[in-house]
Amino acid sequence: MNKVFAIVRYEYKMQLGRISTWGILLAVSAIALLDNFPSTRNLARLEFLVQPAYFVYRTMCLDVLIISFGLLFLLSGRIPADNKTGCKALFMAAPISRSQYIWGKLFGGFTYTLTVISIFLILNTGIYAVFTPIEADAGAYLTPLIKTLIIGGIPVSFFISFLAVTLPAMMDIRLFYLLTAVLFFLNAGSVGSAEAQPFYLVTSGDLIKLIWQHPRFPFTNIWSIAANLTFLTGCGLLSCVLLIMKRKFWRAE
Amino acid sequence: MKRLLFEQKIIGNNLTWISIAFVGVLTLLAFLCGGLLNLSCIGFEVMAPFFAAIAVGECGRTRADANFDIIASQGRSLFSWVLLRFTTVFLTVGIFTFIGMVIVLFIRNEMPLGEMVLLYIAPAFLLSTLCTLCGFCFAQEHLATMICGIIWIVTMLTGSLLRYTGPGYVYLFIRYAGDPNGVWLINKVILSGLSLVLWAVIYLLCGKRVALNRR
Repeated sequence: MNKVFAIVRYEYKMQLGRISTWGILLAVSAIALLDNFPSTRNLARLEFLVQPAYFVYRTMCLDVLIISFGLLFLLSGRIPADNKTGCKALFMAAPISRSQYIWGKLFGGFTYTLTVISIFLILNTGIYAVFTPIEADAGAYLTPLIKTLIIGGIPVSFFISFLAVTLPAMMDIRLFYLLTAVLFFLNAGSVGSAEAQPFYLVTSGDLIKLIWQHPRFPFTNIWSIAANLTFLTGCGLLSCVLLIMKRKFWRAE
Repeated sequence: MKRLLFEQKIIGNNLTWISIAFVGVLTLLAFLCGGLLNLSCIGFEVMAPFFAAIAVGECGRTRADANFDIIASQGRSLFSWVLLRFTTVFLTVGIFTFIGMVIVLFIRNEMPLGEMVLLYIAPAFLLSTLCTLCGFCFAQEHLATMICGIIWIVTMLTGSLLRYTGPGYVYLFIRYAGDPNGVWLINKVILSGLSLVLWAVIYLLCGKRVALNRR
C-alpha cells in the first residue's frame, strides 16, 4: 500500500506544480467571473444569480465543464509519457505490481482533479460572496459549495481522471482526444431543461439538479439521476478494469 | 515534395488510420442521425476543424520534438520546417475531411460541396495555426492541443454572445450558431486573415529563435 501512496504523492505534487494547471485554473476563473460576477448587468440578466446556490450550480454546469476538458489533456499523457521516457521500464524493475502502478496513477490523477475543481469552486464562490450586494450568512454559501463538491465534484473528478489516465494507455492519444471532443461537444451543445436530461452529460446532468432546482419546475426523476451517476462512475471503473485486464500492458507476470 | 514525403514518414500511419476512422464515423452519422441534425454544418464547421487542430498539435510537433534544438541551430530554415510539418498534417487531414464531405453530400445533400469546404477551411486553418503557434512557444506535450481545446469549447458555450453584432465577425462556428446577422462569409474571410497574422507571428518567432541559437 505504501508504494501506491508513494506514486499518488508524486503524481499529485508533480501535477499541482505545473504552471499549466494554474494557467488553466486562472483562465477559466476569468471566464467564469465574466459570466457570473454579481455585477448589476449580470444580476439583471440572470434571474437567480442573487441565490448563492444558483451561482455554485451554474459554475459547476458551465465552467467546470471547461476546466474538466483542460484537465483531461493534462492528465492524458501520464502513462504514455512513462513509456516514452523509459520510466515505465524503471517502474517494472522495481518490486511493484501492475495494479499498484495503475492505482497509484489513478488516485494521483483523481486527487489532483478533485483539488483543482475544489480550488476553482471555492475561489469563485469566495469572490461572489465578497462582491454580491445581497446579504446572506456563511451557511448560504457553504451548504451549496459542500453539496456541489460531494455530489458533483467527486463523480466528475472520478470520471475525468480515470478516463484520462487509462484510455490513452490503451489507444492512440489523438483518437482519445477525438472521442472526448465528441462527448464534450454533446455536453456543450445541451440545453438545460426541467425534463430528464441525457445520462451522458458530465457536469450538467440530472445529478447536478440535486444542488439547485428551478423553483417553478421541481425535478423528481430519481432514475435519471441514478443513470447519470452510474454513467460517471461506471465509465471510470470500466476503463480501469480494462487496463488492469490488458495483459500486454505490463511485463509477463 | 520529397521533404513532404519525409515528413509523412516521420508522422507515421496512425494519423491516416484515425482520419479513416473519422470519415467512417461521419458516414455512419450521415446514415443514422435524423433530419433534425445539420451534419454538414456540425461535422465540418465544428468537429473537423478541431480534429485538424488535434492532428497538428499531436503529429505536427515542433518545440516538443526531441530534435528541435538541432534543427533550429543547424537546419536551413526553421520556418520552412515548421510550415512543411504543418502542411503535411493539415493536407492529410484535409484530404480525408474532403472525402467525408463528398460522402455526406451524396447521402444527405444538405448543402453544396463548395459551401462545406468554405465552412471547414477558415476555422480549421485558424485552430491549426494557433496549435502550431502554441506548439512552437511551449515545449510541454499536449499543451497546444489543450489551449485549442479550451478555445473550441469556450466558443461553443459562448454562442449567446451573437446577440451583439461584433462577436459575429470573429465567432469560430458562425453557421452552427445560426448566423443571426448574416455575416458568415465576412466572418470566414476575417478568420482566414487572422490565421495569416498568426503565421506572420510564427515567422518572426522562428527568426528570433534561429538568431538566439546562432549567437
